[in-house]
Amino acid sequence: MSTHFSFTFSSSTPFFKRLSEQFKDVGLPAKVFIENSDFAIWGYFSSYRPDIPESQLALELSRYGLKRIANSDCDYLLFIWDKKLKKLTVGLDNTMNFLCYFAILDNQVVFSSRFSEIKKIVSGYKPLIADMDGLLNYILQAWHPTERTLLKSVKTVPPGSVVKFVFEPNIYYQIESLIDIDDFLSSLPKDEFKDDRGFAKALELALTEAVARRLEKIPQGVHLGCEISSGFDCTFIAYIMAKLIGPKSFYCYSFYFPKGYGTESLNIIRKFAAKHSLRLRAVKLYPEQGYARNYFKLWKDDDLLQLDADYFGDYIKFLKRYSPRLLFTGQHGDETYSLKEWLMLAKYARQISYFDHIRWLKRERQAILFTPKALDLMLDKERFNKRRRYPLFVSDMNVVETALINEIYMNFGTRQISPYLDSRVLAVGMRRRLRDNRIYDEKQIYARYLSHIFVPEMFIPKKGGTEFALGFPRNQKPLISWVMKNSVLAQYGLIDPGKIMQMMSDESSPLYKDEFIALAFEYLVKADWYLIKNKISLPI
Amino acid sequence: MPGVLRSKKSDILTMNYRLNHDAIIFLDSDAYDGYKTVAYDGKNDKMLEISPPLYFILKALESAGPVTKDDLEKLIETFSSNNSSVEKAVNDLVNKGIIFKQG
Repeated sequence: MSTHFSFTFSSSTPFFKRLSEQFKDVGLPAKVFIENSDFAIWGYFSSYRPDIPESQLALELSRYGLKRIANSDCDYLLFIWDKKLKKLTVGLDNTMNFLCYFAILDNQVVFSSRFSEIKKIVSGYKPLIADMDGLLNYILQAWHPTERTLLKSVKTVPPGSVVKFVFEPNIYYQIESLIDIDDFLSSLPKDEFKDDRGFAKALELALTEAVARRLEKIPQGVHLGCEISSGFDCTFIAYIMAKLIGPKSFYCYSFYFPKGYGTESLNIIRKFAAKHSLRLRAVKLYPEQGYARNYFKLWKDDDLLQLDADYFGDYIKFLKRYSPRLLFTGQHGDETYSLKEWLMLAKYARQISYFDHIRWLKRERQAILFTPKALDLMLDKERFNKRRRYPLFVSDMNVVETALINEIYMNFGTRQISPYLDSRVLAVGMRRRLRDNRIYDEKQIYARYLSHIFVPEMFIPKKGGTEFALGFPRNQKPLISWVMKNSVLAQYGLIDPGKIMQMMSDESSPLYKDEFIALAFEYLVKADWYLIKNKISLPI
Repeated sequence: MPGVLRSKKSDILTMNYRLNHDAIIFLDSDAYDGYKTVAYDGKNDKMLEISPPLYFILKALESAGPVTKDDLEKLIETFSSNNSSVEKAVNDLVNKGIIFKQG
């Protein structure tokens, strides 16, 4: 059952309760609806801070607005209508638990948690025109929190921000980030852990508390799951859940590969599950066979990620079959180990996005896929200069990526829960002592102090990578040829189909040799397909 | 600013210095951050926070294009009261490839 929402709001909307009913129960955060003579508040809200109880939400908002909850451990998406001033405020939490797209159409605002839905509504009003920054981000998979999307007329509420809509005399909106990185940094303890054991113990304690605070908010009977691989982060969470609610209270969901691509090894996952008596549901993924499917037939007109055709879509279908309502994950676990560096640089997210572009296009040679015109647009400093600033406490790229996964999971009523994003876990990460020299897979050093949790096989370095991505140019020639013939990107001079087809016909070209270029090429073809199929034009 | 940067003597045979535009990007909002930004040290794969006076020196280098060693020294003099420590910091940026030194 989908848990997406879509509704239209205008200043003459009389029944707020009816709007609230558009929001389905997602398990966590909880649904809220409060109405008095001054305000109507609806959406979702759960707090993991004892000093901000859910029952006091209206008081909290009247005293502090959204500022305090935006900088705290609260999951929310709130719509607040000021009946007297006729202003609508929409606030989203700092971990982007939801994607909340919006578009202004005539004298009303359309909101939706699903991009394809809002695109469909907008296309009934006006021609679809791409937003260049959003489109270039999508082509390069350069996820960055902004209000922009692939379409010029569709925006999204940035994490940790408020969007304030004024309806009279005409609709306009302003967006403001509420995140105060400096204040968060100054609130953290300054001392470092004396040794690795101290850090490992503190991390276990903080994570246990973070998982417990979330579990206690979940109503009885909700189908719980935990996503696990053979890595340390998600298994850590599964262990804590088993300790807190018992191993038979939830299922672990996993995928694995026939041979060692990345960290997913069924043997290790099974050993870990056996050690803690966990119930495991796992699905085997076949990247090579996946890439050999007939994408031309399977790709959908209205799917940005084409997960129905993709080998990874088999995991999505598997999850859909069981549809756990809440799926705990180890997402963002890596950030616990790099938080000190990240927070010092958090206010420079736009600059870091620019350096990422330089790395992908120049050092990783993805530039060969584009024309000089496209490269000028991608690396145009004004593109980064014009972006508004939405600082976050954790990696912005990962937050946006997790939100996009949630958008897919919500199609069948599943939502991810990421305890690693709890500020108390982040505070432990901040106190980790930095080493003079970088150590490969530093996490292992700490995991050794947690041998009651992990199994020895998890410490063996993982092999494998993404070489299966070379299967895209090898197997999808009819699709690629069709896209190049009908290319919107070529029509606007961003790619040269002649050059690309020449690379396709040359077995020694980087398309067949370099998996990162092959992967970037796949994203490029997906983007072009989407533009063609949805009749989206470019504003250049 | 141009008067400070442009040496009148020929610098064809002298060393010149220019900003690595892939390693730093200046944004309008830098002023709001107290003229601070971040540069990418590609040699060590690390980010480096840049504050005044280095910020102003790099910003001047951005507008000036390649400058001679003399011009770079003049820039350091213009923006800093403690030349020796700033010179050291500029040399560090050269070693990290944030400023290119060309013969």
